Amino acid sequence: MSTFISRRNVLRGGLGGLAALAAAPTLAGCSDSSGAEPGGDPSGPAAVLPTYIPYEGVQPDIVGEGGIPHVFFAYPSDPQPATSEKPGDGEPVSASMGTFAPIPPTADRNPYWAELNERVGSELQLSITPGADYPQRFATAVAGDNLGDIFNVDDSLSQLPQFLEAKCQDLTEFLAGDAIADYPFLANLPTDSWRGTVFNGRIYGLPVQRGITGSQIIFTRDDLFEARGVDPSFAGLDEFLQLCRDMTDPQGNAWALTEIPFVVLQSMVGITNEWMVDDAGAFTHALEVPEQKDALEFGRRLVEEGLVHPDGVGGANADAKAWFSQGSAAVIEDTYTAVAGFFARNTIGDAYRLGLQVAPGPDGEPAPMWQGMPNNSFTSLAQADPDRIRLLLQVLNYLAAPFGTEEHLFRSYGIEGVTFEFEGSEPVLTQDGLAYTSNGAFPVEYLVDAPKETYFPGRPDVAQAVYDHQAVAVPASSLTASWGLYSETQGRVGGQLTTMLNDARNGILLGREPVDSWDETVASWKSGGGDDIRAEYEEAHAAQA
Amino acid sequence: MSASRRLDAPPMPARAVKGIALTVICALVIIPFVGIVSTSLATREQVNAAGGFVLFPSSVTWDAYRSIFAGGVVSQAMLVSIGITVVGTAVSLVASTLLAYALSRQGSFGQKPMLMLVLLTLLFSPGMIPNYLVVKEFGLLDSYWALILPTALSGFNVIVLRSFFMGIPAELTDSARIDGAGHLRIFTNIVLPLSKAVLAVIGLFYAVGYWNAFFNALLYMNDSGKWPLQLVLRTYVVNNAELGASDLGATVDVVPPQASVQMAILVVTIVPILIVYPFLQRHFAKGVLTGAVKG
Repeated sequence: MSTFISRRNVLRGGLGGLAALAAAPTLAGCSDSSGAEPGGDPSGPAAVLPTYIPYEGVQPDIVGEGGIPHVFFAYPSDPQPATSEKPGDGEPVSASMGTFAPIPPTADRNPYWAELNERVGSELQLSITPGADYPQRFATAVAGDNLGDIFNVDDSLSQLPQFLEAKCQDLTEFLAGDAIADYPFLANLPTDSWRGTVFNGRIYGLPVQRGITGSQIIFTRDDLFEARGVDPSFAGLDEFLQLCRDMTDPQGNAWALTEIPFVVLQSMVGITNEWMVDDAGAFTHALEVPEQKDALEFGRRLVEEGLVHPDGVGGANADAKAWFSQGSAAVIEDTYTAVAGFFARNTIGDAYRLGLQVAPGPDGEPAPMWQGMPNNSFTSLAQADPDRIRLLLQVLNYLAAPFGTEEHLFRSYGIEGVTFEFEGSEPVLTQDGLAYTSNGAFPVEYLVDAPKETYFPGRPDVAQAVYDHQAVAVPASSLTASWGLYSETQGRVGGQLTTMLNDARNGILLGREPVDSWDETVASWKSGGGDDIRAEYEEAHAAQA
Repeated sequence: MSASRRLDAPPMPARAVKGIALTVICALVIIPFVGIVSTSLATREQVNAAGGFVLFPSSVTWDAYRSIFAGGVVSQAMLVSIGITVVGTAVSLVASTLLAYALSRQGSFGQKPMLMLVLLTLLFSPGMIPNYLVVKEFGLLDSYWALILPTALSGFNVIVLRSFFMGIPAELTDSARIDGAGHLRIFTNIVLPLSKAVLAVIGLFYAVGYWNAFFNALLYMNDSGKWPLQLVLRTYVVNNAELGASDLGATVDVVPPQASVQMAILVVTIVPILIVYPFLQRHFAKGVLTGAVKG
């Protein structure tokens, strides 16, 4: 199945939306239990998980079910306040987080930050660090006991559960079960996201939620396919190989693929996710199953036939997006969150058409899409007296105000006339807004975030196409079985093992090593810590069950 | 053609080869700079068409520079960096020259143990967390002094200065001493005026070090309003996030391409050093070589 987007098919998208809306419950009914049903019965420690209470004050254009985000074709008109009083008490609230954007101006020169302080009722003293450097910053702050009231946790920290127990507030009594009703916007966060904040059976954090938006899928430049008379959809690996051949023309500086779409390839050969668990509670890693070598063989063939951009194997993703945008590659593997960026980089106007392809599995049905992690990260609170903790939770509750509320409009876009302007009903950031606000450089979303909805300002056809894709792909998707489980060995040697696996995989894909050499790699992975990681996951899984 | 004539004017083929070689070498150095400036001024269409690196932009836009100077963060950080560099270099030069002079005087109090301590810092450096704890215990977190004092003394620079000072003829200092001068007068009136070359180069080392430093600010400065330029710019380059294009709900009227923004940042970073460097260059080779081969 192919879903394509252009500026011209808005009406078609709208009609498709009605059809998809009708089909959605049926498709959702096919979902397996790992389809991230918010509020469903999770496999995690249900006893402490907060009750899921969806916010119903704003009605989406399409109600997302089965883990699919709600869809808004336009920003809700006349957003209403969902809170009645300021959460703060006038005392400063300190917080630290990493950011993946440029640094915003400080409160004295940032009208958005100043207004946010005013609305929160406390001064937000944020310690902001470039994301790539956050682990070092976090380690020193832990050593110096200088984390602040609220802090985004570096989950690569070794002995993480012990750190949480020693330094962080146990939030179970404040958030478990129906207690979360005191914080209605936090209660609006999906249950799967909360599973990532539970350690040793206690809640130690708040999720920075992302849902399925981080899932890897195949995007196609349908305008380039049309120019060559090639159908961008494919019903199996053979058809995918053929379309790659048809779209490759090295003399014309055109290749089919930016990089090897290896996550999708693994799903197409039938591997359901990175970690899989059977009914007996036995864990298996994707690299161990026989189908892994099928994916490697297919990937190797793509490189051998010259269907991948020459710099694509092991290349930086930023370059891949550039190749896709400039048309030197017509197929890219990326996440739903990349869609806005694809359109932002478009320089050919209405001729640009983006397709979202549903990859087929071995049986011709939609392949088991690997769901992105439900959370970007999670946030913990420093230990304090119960009243202070409740106040901090109220502040975080305010910052998690859902899409379509007046609080969300302010948090995302700031002050009308200063940081954004309405174009019709759509808020559009100004240049200053880009530097000042949460939808620009202000990283408050890394403390807590509202559920990510599907909304593309001024592009309802894009929102429709994303929904149409998710309506088919998500029911067949699953989450890695290790989600919500902790492995000390993974924290300690996981990075080294990943590097070793990537090197071995690239060696095979580039043709330097035979596919059969993967067996040795798997043996090295097992002896180097893989078996220990498995055992720890199995133990944690059994404890939760 | 006589031999002397050949020496004066090499034959045409040799001159042509030299000319080509020099042109190629110059091009290798200059083209990246031209590309950096050109890309920083290029439009998204040009960046896309050129694959990310524009050599000759057909039209010029200042969007990338407007983007990084929006909100005044970069301007403020530039002031911070200039202040840190000027004050830090002054502090470092004063401390380093005083220490180096003391270490260059044979028989001065504690000379050998102090020299051993300086040499020890060349072999071993403290870790990130011990450094952080020391700065915290001194109450320097969020203070500009946290960006200066931990790196105020470089063992390498002290050794270079000491070697230079030891090369100053003893007769000069001895005669001054006979005339009644103390160490302070000898240091300020004789040693320093004779050490302009090495002071210039060591000053340049320190200045470039302070200008380029970002990691101490990353650890010690919670208030991003006190960040130096390099750390602010690092958030553009390392984070690699294209604002307005990386989030589902973000939108903006004009978003410059990430490649242009990154190249604009490079221009902003290297221009101040390029401006200062020619004034110190004539001292550079002399100062380094003089200090390096003695002692």
